[in-house]
Amino acid sequence: MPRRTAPKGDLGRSNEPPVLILTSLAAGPKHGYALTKDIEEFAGVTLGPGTLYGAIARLEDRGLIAPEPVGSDARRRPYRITGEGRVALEAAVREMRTLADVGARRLGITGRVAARGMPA
Amino acid sequence: MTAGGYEHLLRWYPSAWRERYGDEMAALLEDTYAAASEVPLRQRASLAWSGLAERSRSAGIVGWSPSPDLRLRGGSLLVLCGWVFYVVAGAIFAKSADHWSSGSPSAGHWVATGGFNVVGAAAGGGTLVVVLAALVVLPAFVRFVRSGRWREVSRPVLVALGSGAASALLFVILVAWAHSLSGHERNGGLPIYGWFFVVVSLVFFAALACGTVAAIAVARRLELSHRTLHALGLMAVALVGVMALTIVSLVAWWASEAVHAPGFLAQVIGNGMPFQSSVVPPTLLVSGVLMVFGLALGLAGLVRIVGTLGRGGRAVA
Repeated sequence: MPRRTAPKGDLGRSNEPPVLILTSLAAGPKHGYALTKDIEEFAGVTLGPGTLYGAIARLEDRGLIAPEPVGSDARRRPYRITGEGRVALEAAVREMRTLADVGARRLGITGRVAARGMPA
Repeated sequence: MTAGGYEHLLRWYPSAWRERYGDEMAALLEDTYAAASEVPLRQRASLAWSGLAERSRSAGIVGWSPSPDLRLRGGSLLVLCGWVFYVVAGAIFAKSADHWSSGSPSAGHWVATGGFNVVGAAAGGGTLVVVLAALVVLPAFVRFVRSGRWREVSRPVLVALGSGAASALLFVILVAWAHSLSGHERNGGLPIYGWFFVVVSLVFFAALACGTVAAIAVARRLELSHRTLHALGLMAVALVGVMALTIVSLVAWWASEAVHAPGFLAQVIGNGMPFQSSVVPPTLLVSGVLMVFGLALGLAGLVRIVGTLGRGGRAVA
């Protein structure tokens, strides 16, 4: 019988909350509000509080992110990406890039995609 | 909105979740909506949905857990939820097929008779399995109460007991009233009795829902050994078998009636509201749909249980 769970490193599609959160945390630790604002800015996606913390809990369970020690404001606890989280995000990014490369090649838009800042 | 107001919006989440993430989520809501002074209705609904999903996840009903015990527990609870749909469907079917043996010319037809009898026997068998499962977890429940944790489940259990008592009381009144009425009055001749019957049915269904919520609230907190969970898993597998048998028997009875006694189906209670049919009466349709939905839940639980038992109950990382 096939496993009914994603492997630890499988984060889903590029616009799914785990990928968005790890991408945001790759730039440094952030608390909930800072995460939503950053994700809004780079992906144009607004994650609701339920969705955000649902994903945070799952990522924390899988050891892909970890809470930072709380500072003066215990209610705004920042999270950081872990080593395992970095590995999982790298794998997801490679997979997305492969898919983007194939799509671009088949559409004959490799030049345009590259020009828009896609990594070669 | 005050900090307490934001925290109140998180009441849908399980207590352990609120303890871990409640303050942070309240702070996020505060940061996001302080300027607007109100959390939009859509966001409130989304929080309620997410909270209920987390409750289901913590009970092992949705999502995937590496713990085999949690998978067995969740799978068994899913099957129980499916069975509740069967109870509602069975009650509707029983009322629809009231006086079937005397009112239908196909009563002697072996397919219809066999199907009808198997549905009745399956209902009894399924109820027996559920009662056995309750008896199996009873010692754990007693230990749970004795350990002083009753308060954690007191609200859903008391609501379930209250609604169950109300349902029983209304049922007694209904039966007493029915005894003083003629067959014609009981079957649509007296509208006020018909409406009272609907109210009693709705209260019964509500009590059933409250009972299920209470059972889940209790079951997810009980300390159950792997052996007990294994036994519950096997009972749940048997219950899914009963559910499948019921639906097959119901369809056989239904098909036989549609072919041999469409006149009986045309007279099934509730036919004509909202449509009239001598093949697919609305009440039987509702009963069938509920059974299909219940079976789907049961099968989802079955997959979880069989997958876990198939691995010998080992944890999967």
